[in-house]
Amino acid sequence: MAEKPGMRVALLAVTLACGLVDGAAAQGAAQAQSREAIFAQMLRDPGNVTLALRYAKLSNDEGDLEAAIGALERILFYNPSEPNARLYLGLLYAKLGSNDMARGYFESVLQHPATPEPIRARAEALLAKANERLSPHQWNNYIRTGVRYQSNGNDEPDGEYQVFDPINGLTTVEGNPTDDWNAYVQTGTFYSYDFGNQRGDRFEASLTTYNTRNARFDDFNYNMAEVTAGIRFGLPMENGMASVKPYVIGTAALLDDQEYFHGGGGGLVFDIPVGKIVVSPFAEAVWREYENNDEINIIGGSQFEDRNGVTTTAGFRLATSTYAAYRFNARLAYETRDADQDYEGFERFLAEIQFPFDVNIKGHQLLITPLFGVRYTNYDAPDPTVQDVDGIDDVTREDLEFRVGLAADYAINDWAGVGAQVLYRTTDSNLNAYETDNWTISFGPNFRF
Amino acid sequence: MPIFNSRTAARISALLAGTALFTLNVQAQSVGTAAAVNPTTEGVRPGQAIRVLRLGSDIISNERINTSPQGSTQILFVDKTTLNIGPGSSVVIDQYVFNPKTDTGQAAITLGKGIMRFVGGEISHSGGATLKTPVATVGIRGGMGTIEHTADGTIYLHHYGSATISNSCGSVTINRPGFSTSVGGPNQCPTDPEKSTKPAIDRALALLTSGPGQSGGGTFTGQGPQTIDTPTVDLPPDLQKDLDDLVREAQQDVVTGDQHYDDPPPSCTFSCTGN
Repeated sequence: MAEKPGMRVALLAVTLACGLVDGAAAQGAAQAQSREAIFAQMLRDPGNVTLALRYAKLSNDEGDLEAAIGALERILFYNPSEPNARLYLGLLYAKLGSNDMARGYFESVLQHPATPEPIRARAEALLAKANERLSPHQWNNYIRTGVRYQSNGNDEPDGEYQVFDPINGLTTVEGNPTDDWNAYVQTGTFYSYDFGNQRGDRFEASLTTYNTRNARFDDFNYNMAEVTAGIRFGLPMENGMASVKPYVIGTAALLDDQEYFHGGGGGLVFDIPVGKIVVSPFAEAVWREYENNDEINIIGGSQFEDRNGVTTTAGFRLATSTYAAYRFNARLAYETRDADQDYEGFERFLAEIQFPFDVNIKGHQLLITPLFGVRYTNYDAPDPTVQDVDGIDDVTREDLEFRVGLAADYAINDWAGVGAQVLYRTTDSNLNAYETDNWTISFGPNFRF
Repeated sequence: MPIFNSRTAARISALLAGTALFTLNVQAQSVGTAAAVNPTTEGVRPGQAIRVLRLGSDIISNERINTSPQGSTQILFVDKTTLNIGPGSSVVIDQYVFNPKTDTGQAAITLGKGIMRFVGGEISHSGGATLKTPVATVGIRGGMGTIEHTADGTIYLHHYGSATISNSCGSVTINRPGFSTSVGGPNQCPTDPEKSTKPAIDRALALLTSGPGQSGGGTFTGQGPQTIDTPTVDLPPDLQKDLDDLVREAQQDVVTGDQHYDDPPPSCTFSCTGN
């Protein structure tokens, strides 16, 4: 397989990311040393508020929120009327999930008659948030929308490939990857009901949708909706709280405004804290039934219905806890599809990882997320309608896909922001028809409420 | 030659004196400092006279700390644990051992009466922290909790981490912030954990800090005692800005944290065409 220019960019991005991680680790070690030195000074000079504030910030940055709380409670001893110290304590307790303590601190700011108005307004907003979190009903919603440019909007290879059909026989087709723009809207609604027991058992449901409208290739206009529902049971462990959630899932999609597939299934997911990481083993089985669409050409001539079957996925996710100083999210999975036609069945290994980190710009947060992924797919049987460049028709398709990208999300306020993403995807295949490259650039607003 | 002569006696005396000195040094080793003190707060060391604690006073193992009905204090331990002690309380540091090289150790603190909040440092992260009252024992792991003991028994409010509350009757474990248990007597079992009440939380917040007119021994306020009716005394401007920045960052962290919690699933990360 010839080297693609995009691969060099991908390798450079990986190298840069490794450098970033190395740099962050070195900075973390220096920060930890600095915090220890400040703590030693504090023991000798405990009334020094400058030291206490600096220690609180470093502790917060390192994820040691209890140490930050201890320092702030000391500052409050010296000035019990200081409203920002109370707000900060409330926020620290909120980050630990101790929302009743957070509410108490926010209320105390409002109860003091001399709290300045800007701080009072801040405390009112935080108190409202704390009361929301204390409610057994939790709703979280998001909308992401914008425009997306793709260098290969029709997902075609850059080169020749061979197809075979009974009427025309063996035909050489010239691939014509063509760019395209689309507008997209992605939505999510998450609901949970807390049963109020000590284990933290709760009912969880979600509805996610994804919709696109393309400027040029309206065959790829896509609408998808997915519903999940299940009960999460808490599992007390020595080092924290684990959980297990059995759930059911329903899904449906349109392609070019006609039914594409519908289906359903179920799964099981665990969340297990291991130090500062949450490990989430999961398994899921989803059946999908596809509908043919004579107006859409698929490479080769197979039909959508050939894909009918059950897709089974098993693997695990890894994620650092929400407020960890250095974060990553990763997913490793093994997937199989048992399709009506063997050449649409496959087994697949995939791995993806993200390294989100925050940059504070004049009080606003910019979230930067480098992301990497790889997916290897080995199909179960040759597709007789798609052949390799030598016209051999018994080659079983194997694809190796790499993905590298960078996302940036800027929070304008608590409920709105703007985001952009650059993504490069390259697929190497033993069949020319599936060797593709695609650059994707998207940007637009996002909302949370 | 006698077995026990003057030279031998001198050697034995020196050995005994050295041992006594060594023991004294171990017992007198500081385990922390009084990082904030409102009068009257007193420390009582074994075999020694009562002393009034001030900001910066050393605290040693086996020391008893008593607060008057207006007194309160925060003890900052060498393993980064902080212990806020409220008014009318009596607390003993029964045991404190910490190895800074391994960040492990053991701490046992008894609350005879009153109220205190334990914010765990390295010792509690390794499961070595124990809080006791006359009717119950609380083992805390990596966490924070408030404990109050009165004539009606002990109440424990859990804020973070994991805590096991036990006595001769039975035990309960609390893993979830915002839950509490109470123990009426040494032979009464701890109650099943239930959500902490708002009055209990508000009471803990009010008692475990300075009261009106108090400043914990700190002097940066610079304008004399405060009362509930006096205007807020600002921090010096540079510290005010530092704290304001910290609040903004933390507020944004909480918003971003909510976003991380419900980040959309990686739908369409690899393909949106169902393949």
